[in-house]
Amino acid sequence: MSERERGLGSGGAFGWFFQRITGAILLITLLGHFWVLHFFPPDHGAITYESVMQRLSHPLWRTFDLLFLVFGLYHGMNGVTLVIHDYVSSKGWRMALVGTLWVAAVFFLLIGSMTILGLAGGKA
Amino acid sequence: MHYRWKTGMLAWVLFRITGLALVAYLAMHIMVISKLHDPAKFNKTMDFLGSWQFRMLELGLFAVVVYHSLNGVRIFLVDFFNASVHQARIFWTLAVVGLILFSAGAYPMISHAMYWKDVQSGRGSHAILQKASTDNCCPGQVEVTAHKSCDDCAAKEGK
Repeated sequence: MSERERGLGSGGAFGWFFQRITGAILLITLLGHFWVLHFFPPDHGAITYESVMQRLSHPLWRTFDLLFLVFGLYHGMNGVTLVIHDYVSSKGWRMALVGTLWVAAVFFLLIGSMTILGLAGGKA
Repeated sequence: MHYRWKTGMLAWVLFRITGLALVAYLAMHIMVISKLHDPAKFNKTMDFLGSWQFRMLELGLFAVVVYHSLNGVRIFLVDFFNASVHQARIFWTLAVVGLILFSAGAYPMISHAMYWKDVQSGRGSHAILQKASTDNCCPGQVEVTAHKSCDDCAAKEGK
């Protein structure tokens, strides 16, 4: 396999390195996410529109949730890319799958950030 | 030549499966939350997702998260700190750490689940239930109705 073929659609060294960096960041953001929504939310863990709005009204929490979304999506999609590279040997199929995957990632990024920012600036 | 089922192999298979499961969960999670712009709809869905049964299922999610996180830590150590010689020992050490972390996180999660189990079955006189009752003008309601509006109750009582 030529160098050029091998590099197609795989993040290469960049993907390898940032999978570890984003993983380390997710360790912190995921813990924070579980902390406020599963371990210690007030009222016996009842998640209400009001409680979420109150948290998201703080810019730092909005930033936290956005970072969690961006790194989570990147890490997840990059991970699936690695799986595709392991099992799909046809170059065409691989490109198509990896391409579809990143379109999906952008879609989820848009929907997700609209939710975080929309909820925060919403009616209530 | 044949495969030997060693620690690294087991860790790798579980890592891949939990990773794919988490991607599927993330996609689902984003889609579900994105449809909850309306406060009433949000609270109604959260009443359902906050039931004790769902809270117990979330323990499974938490277990998957703990495993994937800690095996990730192991990979980080092996790759960046040249710890490959010790990878099996690191795996089993982190397994113990994981068990402790899981227990520490599962305790409050199970406590919440058991609280809502009581509320759902109508037992006990819980502070939140009384608060919900006064907040939503539905005195004495016993289901998980913390978010029911006055209209819901009025309609129910035929007022």
